[in-house]
Amino acid sequence: MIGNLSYLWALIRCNMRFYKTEYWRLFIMSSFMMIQNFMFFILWIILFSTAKELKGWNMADIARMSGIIASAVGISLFFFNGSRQIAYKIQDGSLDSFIARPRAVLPSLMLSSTSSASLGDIFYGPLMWLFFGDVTWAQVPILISVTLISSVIFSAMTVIVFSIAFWMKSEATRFTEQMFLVLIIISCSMPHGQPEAVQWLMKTILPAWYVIYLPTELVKNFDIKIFAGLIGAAIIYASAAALIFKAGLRRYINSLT
Amino acid sequence: MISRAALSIIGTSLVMGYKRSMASKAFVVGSFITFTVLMVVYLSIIKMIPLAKVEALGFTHLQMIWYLATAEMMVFMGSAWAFKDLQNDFVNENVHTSLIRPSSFMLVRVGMWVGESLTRALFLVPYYMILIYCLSGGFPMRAIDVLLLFLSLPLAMFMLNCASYIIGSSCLWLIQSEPAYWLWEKSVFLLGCMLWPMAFYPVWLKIICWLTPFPGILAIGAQSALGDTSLTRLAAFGHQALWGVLFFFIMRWFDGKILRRIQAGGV
Repeated sequence: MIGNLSYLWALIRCNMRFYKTEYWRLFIMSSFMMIQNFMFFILWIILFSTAKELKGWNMADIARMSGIIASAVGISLFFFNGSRQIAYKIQDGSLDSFIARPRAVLPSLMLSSTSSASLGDIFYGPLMWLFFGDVTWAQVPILISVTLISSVIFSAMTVIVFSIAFWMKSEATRFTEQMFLVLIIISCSMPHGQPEAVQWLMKTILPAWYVIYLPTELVKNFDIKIFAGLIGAAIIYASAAALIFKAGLRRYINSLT
Repeated sequence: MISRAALSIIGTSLVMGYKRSMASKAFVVGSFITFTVLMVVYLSIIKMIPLAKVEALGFTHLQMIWYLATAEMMVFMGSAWAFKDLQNDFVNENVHTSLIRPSSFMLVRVGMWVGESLTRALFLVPYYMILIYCLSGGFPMRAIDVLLLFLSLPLAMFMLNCASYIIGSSCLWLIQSEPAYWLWEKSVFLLGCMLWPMAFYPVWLKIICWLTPFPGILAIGAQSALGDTSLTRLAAFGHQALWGVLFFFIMRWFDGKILRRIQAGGV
């Protein structure tokens, strides 16, 4: 157990060392990521300057939601960008090198790459909370906790989405990228006020309910039962991701032999 | 004057783009899924806006839904990954093999992307019409609106693909093209009025929008759903045509810079 953890820690350190020589790229990419996030947020500002409130949500709620999802996606892709490359690694055969290692495949694969731009996402969240979110100091620990849980669920969903490639014969990279885009789209929209069928989707295969809605509501009105439920959802999605990846990997190994 | 050879290259590139699009069936399915999810989610958001607020701006929920769907359909017709393909060609130095051919690299690339966009339109346009009709329960456009939409589509696609060429090749000067693309994409969303019609925008932002090419890429086509007056339309098409011509010349000028850069110092 300790050996595995120290191995994963070594992978994280290795990824971070990459930026010692690439700090300029890190700065440029993350700054532009923040700018583009804010440009999209202006669209919400424009809408709320006319509508003021949508089904009980105002500008501050949208700012908190945008901050949570940006930071959650940022944490996920800054540390676990390898999960976004599952389809590419299956296609070019580089997954084989992970299978040959005497360690669990999924964690080493997830930690095999980092996305420099995602650091901008991580910092964009707190800026949103600070300038537009009407956040009090008492809410900060809740915001950080729900963002971390949201990040776990998003990372799990990323693994699931890119594991589709195990069952595809061709065009897996583009298709899985499109499905990842679906995940991003649904995670950046307002889940409440949607029709029941869409809400059902958001509570199951596209878990925007747990990634953004419940975290944003918890910041507004904290409820320990809902918080515990959110942790439970994170465990369920993480387990599902591990199981689906394992099934896909088994299929991949069988196709090699 | 465009020579016969150039026309032949454009024609062949369009066909290549058509074949490439037809070969990627999973991608078409993926586009349908993404478009559907996006529309279902944002349609509900539009319906959440109080009707009085929407009517005060001069249109209905139905018109706003069709506006958004039309703008999104145009975004989906564009080749979002095209700049990356080009960047990869520069990074992998594959560009050299393209440059030794006795045909313009720029014409081949842009022609192929336009071909891909137009082929995607063959699938997307009927799907968009049926899906949005089923979701919204109505169709606010007149025959003339639909005709004007289809007239503005090719020019919008041309501008999007020209921009992809310029952004993709900017990696010769910048470390990576991605930051430039992000700014471009979000400018298209914001200044091209992708989610909400320009009537929602404050006056100062409307002026900024009209000073840029972005309304010509999305808003002008999408405004067909709002039933604008003919005078406004005429001005809008003039704006679109002007920027289309400008884009062509900017791309040609930029292409010269690219060639000189590669000749002087390689990729």
